[in-house]
Amino acid sequence: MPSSTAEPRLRRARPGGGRKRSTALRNARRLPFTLARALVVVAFCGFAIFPLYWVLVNALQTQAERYRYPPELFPIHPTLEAFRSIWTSTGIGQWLTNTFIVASVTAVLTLAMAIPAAYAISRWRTRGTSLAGFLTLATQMIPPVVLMLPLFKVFVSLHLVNNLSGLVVADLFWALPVNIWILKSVFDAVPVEIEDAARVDGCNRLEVLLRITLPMSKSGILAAGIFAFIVAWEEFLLTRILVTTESKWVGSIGIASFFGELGTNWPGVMAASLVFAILPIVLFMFVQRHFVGGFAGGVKG
Amino acid sequence: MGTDPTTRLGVADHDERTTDRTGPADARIPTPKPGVGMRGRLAVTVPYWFLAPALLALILGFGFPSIDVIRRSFLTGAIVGANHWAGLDNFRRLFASSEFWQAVRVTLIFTVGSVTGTIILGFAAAMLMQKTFRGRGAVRSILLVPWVMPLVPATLVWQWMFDSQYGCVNYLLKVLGISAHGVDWLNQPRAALASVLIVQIWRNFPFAAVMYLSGLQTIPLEQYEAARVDGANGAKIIWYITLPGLRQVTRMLVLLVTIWSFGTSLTVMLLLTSGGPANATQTLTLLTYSDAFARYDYGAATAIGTLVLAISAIFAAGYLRVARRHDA
Repeated sequence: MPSSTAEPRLRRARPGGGRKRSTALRNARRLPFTLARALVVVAFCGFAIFPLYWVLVNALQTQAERYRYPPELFPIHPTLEAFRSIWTSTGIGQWLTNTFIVASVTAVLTLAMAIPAAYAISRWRTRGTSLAGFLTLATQMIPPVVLMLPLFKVFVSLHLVNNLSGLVVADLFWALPVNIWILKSVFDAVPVEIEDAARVDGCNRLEVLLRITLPMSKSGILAAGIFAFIVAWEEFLLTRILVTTESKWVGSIGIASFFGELGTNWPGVMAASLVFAILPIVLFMFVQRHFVGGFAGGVKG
Repeated sequence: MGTDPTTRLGVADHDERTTDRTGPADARIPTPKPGVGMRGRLAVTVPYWFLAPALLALILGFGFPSIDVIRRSFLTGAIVGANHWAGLDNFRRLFASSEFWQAVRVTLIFTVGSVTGTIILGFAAAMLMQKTFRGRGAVRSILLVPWVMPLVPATLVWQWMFDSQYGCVNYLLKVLGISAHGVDWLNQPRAALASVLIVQIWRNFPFAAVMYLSGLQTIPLEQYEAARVDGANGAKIIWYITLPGLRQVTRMLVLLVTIWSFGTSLTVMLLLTSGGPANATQTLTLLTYSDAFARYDYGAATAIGTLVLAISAIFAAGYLRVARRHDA
């Protein structure tokens, strides 16, 4: 990825060939620069990752160590006790199961709707399809909180409140537009020639999509599905008003319920947060190269 | 395999959209000729069958609610029961309340602060990441963590970090010799707004960094070479080559981050400060949320919703225009 395009710049800085001595000299003169730069990089990384690290440190300590001041940067007596205690004292197992079900179903449904739509936008360049693409992008500019007011009423009247299917529907709305854009660029990459050949052999459009285009885009589709999964995994605002019964809670609601009770079993709270946060982070790192671009339209917070 | 172009980031992706709008894809698709009869006429509708399920969902999830909010802002506000035409009453009531104007002020500060911070940090991070160095891939992944860490647990740990007595933020200030007594982050109005901003910038800067990084790669290397031959130093190169080269990306980022900060971000305020102390962190979106779901004042909520929608539409129109020009 980007490193490949940055390659020429790298080559210039690397000592090598006939310019060896002069580059070495320049490198020496630049040492303070390089050091300062490294320091700034470290500061940036610290700022970015410290909250996650702090969750980890807090999850590994005991309740007594929480009020230690000055705070210890490293866990002194690391223990997994917090993970055990939060597991037995809250319904976190149930929350995570619910989250997992909602996120998986959302991912599958989102793909089922986004794949044909993205294919149409990618392959037919008519005024109609480009309008559809434009409208898809425009949905991302609408503040979700505005949508929540009428959606809540609709969900109530359709008995989708306190119901995991309701969450799937809500998450589907959030995940669908970005998914269409991710998949559109995935399909753009499949050469039209191959599809044309199949059509000459008598396949219709749907058959072409199912037999040629989809198998050729497996990893892109996986990335899009994971994106929808992450969106549903994290969703909080609409979930918060759609679900009140504790047996229907999902992870984000469970973690949010810890606000205001910061005194009680803090390591356990952090352990729960870590367990909840780690899956989307790992999944994202796994497929990150696919969708940083698609993210242009896909942020909620 | 069909993954290559998707690995290109943000901006490059935009470029791509137009190239293939006029590219070979167009020419190769046999368009049904008029007068081919039933088959031809049916073929024209095929893309719409492919689009139908998604479009239906988008209309239900986005189209209908947007229109309904606008409609309801002109009705008397009750969540259930009969609603009567209320004209501009909801808006009049809104404009008369000091809480609303306070929220306008907070929203303005929050949006400007968040956009500025996100852009500056994002640009700095991108400049640092521009050159290849050992561990660059790891640094890249680390910098993306705020972007993917679920916001609820992230806000929870930030709340503890901001704790005035035991929090590590105050400890850091003490160690660095900035403030010996620390700041009462969450209970003092100005500090509370600052803490919400810090979390929001922490959350968003990786996105700006990634966009800038891909923008940097579109600047031709020859321009740097030429500048260096002309004897330009680092600062001059940034000023005369890098910044102008990133003008388009910056424009898009400013508009996008504005739309997000203005319209979408309320989770942090909701959880970190609940809009307090004394409404110091209550933005318009948070006010809509609490009007609707805590006070059940649907009239006020939809009136603010309509205003938020209208203002977002202005920025959105700007963004879509810039994005389109960027394509061309």
